[in-house]
Amino acid sequence: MRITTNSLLVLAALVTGCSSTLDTTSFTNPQFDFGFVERAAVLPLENLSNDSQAAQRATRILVTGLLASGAVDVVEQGEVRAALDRIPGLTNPPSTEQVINIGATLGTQALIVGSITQSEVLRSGTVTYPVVTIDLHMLETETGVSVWAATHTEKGSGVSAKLLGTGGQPISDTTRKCIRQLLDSLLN
Amino acid sequence: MHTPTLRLTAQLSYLTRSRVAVLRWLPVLVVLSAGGAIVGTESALAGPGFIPEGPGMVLPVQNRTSDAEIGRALEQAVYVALVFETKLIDTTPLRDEMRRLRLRQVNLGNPELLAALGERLGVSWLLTITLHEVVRTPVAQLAISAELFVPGATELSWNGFAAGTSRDSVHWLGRGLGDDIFDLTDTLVAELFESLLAGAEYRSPKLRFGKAKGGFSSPGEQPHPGQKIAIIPFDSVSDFNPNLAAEVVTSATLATLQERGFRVLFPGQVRKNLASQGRLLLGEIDGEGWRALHDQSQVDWILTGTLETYKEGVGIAPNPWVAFSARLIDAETGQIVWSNGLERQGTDSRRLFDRTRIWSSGQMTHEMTRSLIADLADSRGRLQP
Repeated sequence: MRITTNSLLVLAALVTGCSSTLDTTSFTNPQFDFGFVERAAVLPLENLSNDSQAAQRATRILVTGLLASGAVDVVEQGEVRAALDRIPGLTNPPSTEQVINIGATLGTQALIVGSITQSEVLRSGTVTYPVVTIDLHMLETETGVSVWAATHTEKGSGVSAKLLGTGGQPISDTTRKCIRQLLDSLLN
Repeated sequence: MHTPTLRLTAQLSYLTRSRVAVLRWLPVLVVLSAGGAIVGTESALAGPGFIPEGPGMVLPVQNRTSDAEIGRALEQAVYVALVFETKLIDTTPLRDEMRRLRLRQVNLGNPELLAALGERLGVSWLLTITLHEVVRTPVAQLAISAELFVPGATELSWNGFAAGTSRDSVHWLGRGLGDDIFDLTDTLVAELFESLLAGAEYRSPKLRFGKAKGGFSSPGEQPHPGQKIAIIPFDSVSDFNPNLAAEVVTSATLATLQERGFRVLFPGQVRKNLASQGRLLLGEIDGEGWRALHDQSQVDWILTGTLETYKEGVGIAPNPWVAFSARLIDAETGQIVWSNGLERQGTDSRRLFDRTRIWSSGQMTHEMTRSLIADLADSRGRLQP
């Protein structure tokens, strides 16, 4: 009986010990009425990781996730890029004046900016698994202040990968899950 | 394509492994060995199905893989499928004429240049074939697409996409034998050209994944089948062969839209309208772009999207994994009016004894585009023809 209990404990430790996710760290401005935001734009996310495609991947998935939520209208990415090209000396992240300027150009009440701080495939023994960390902010375009911010880390390692040593999830899948968690903290 | 001698050899090698009666091909072999400019029988019909009247040309296969042998086998299979039904012009003068017109890629060329090419070659239609994927072992996988266009026209006359595996011919409980990759090539070509040659109306097959759920659809003006749609090629954030994988999704989407009865803008015309952008647009469009498409080509809707995951299955039981999203943009206002995405694995559609399991990423992509476009059709009310 002791052996069985110990085995179960070891199994539980294996499964939960390499927990797939960390809790989302988020901030929401209690003074801000989010019902005011009808249209938003996602600025290309900054890439702080070594994965050259991470920012593009996350930006695209974030736009789709926002559209799928049905909460706001989202500006087409080509329009965003064209608007950013017209702003001289654009900084990343944009200054308050630039946020107001972009908002006026695109007709949005909010901008979403952020960065990918980690996007890599880690190895633990024979098991490889992707890890993605994304930091997002929502900026209100009348004053340029941040009204929501969140950071989330997602590990793409399923139980079968941990126990059987099979391959982990694709990194795009982990990115999608990470963004879903972030949007949950914004929308719920 | 080939010299007549090479072509004769190719035909013979095809005949030795196909199940088609040799006698049926004797007249073709005679014509081929004579080295005539027009290849085909005297009794070849002009304009079957969706093919316009007059002679046409099958362009050399655009091979996106490193497998030259399958590229040649595909070329032969296409040739054999069309030679009795159409008048085919030999491709020998093609290269010189393209060089003279400074035309690099026919299916992305400027429509005016293509009209000039058609005139110089004396053809009324051109057919391009693309070999997207080849996996030889242990489960052979193949994905191909074709586009038919009339030189000078701004809309595609017909396009199709087909993907399959050697497991498709194995029935449940292991009955039947798996195709080899050459038989699979012939099967897919026959499947691809079935609607082209028959000109039959599209009958929607059962969706394996069902209609895509969730997503976003704005209320507002409802589009209808008579309207024109342009596709901006999908971009890709997948870690496996991103550009080639995105091309598979774009081709499958084009084919699915046309199956559904949409008028699809010729990709060369899209490129021409967006030429002022000075760069190739992938997966997005800006104000100048949608205005140009609307004003110059009277496009009503623009479809684009992003491929997120494209993982080919390997081994004896391949389990492909594909995820992508698409957006429909109103070409008059630039507003996103519909968006949805899907993520599927081959085992998602599995039933008892793997009866309906999907084994290749090409097949998976085709099924997923059908699910997504079904959602687009239903969510936009009258999109369905």
